[in-house]
Amino acid sequence: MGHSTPTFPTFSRTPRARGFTLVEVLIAAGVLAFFIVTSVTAMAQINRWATAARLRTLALALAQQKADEILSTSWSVLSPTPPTVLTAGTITENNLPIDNDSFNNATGLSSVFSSLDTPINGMRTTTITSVSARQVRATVTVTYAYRSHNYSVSMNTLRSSDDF
Amino acid sequence: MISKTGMNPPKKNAFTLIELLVALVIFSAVSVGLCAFTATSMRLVGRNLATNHTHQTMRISGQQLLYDLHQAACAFRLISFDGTNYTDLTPTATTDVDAFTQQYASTRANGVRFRVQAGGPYPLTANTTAASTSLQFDFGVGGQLPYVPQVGDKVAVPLLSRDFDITAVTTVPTPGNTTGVITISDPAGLGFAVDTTTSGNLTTGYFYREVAYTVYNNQLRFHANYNGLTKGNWRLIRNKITSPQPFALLFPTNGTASDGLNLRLSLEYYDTDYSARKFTSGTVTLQATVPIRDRPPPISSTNAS
Repeated sequence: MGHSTPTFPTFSRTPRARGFTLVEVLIAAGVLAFFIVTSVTAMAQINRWATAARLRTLALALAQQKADEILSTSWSVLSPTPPTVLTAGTITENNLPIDNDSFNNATGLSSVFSSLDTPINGMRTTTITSVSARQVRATVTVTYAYRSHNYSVSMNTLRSSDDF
Repeated sequence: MISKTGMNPPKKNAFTLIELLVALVIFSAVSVGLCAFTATSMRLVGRNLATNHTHQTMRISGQQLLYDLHQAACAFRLISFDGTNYTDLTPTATTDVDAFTQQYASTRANGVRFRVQAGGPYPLTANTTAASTSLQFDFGVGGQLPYVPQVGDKVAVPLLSRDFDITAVTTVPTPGNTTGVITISDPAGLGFAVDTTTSGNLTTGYFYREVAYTVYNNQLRFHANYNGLTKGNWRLIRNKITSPQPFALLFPTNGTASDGLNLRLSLEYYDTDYSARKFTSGTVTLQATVPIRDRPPPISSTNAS
């Protein structure tokens, strides 16, 4: 019996990875960072949209306010001149506060929340066009800027005289 | 390599210090990032909720408030509510110029009262003399009784271009008998003989009731019958109102009297559930100048309360 080389148990398994490599971790961290940045950006954008929607509503309230004035002012075609608000032509009002009403900011009147808004002013343009002796068409447009974008809302209405 | 003892090579049983430190740094960085992300997310979502809540509040309550104010058939009167008593105010002009009308805002108040049409037109159903203080109307509409007169209401008779306070309801209309009789305030009577029996004659009356809006305890309240003992009854329109005194009248110039026909409104909303955070854009202010509806012509006074 000759000399034999001692044998050792053979294992077919490959060496196990006992942890993540630095490159793997860095890639994972990069993916996570991308997810975080994307999410925060998306949420910030959603907030801007919400604020823009809110401003649009407030601008509509401004336009509605003028339309109310046009619809509720007394107008008799028997009077020598129509009321100013119903006279044909275009009237432009500048620097109207859309939010953050200064009316509320007086001492003792302002709440702790009054100053939260960045003041945004708008321009309201009212165009009265004569349709007939007893009727006018009114177009009220409110324009304002928010984050370097110009926005505009518009309302139209017809108004007839009170005489019937 | 074979150990001298013939056993397996020694295993690496633990992480090295370097490995631990690197893992710790990475874990810390990820944790800090996640915490910052969570905090930022919470704040952004909270701000979004606050903005949308106040926006929604303004849209809903503003619609009803403005609708009711526009139904005013008389001059607005400012009132004050201190938690116990309702008091009429005598507002004076301030130096604050309203940006919309260039008129001067009055001293502010937390309430406003006015009259709205509550019923009518209802036909007079009994003849009157000029001295009559008792008027009979048919308050039925299609078999229903949508309005029942009460003391403190006003009746306006367009034929006469006059309105009167109702001082008594001597016959209260019911669904079974919709005819009612009221007593008017003017001791001189109606001032006109009305013939209701001749075919083709139709004389009608419009009935007006006092209502009010107040703001108290961050609540916008509507008083559907601001009259006598019932003036303190209210229903909630919206809470989370943060402007304590949102109502004012407009004065043409600083010093002249106001006709009370234009109400200046500045109603601020903030979702106070987020009060500790004070989110930018979380507040919404409904600002409006409200003229009364002067068709038919405004009734003469609001002093019944």
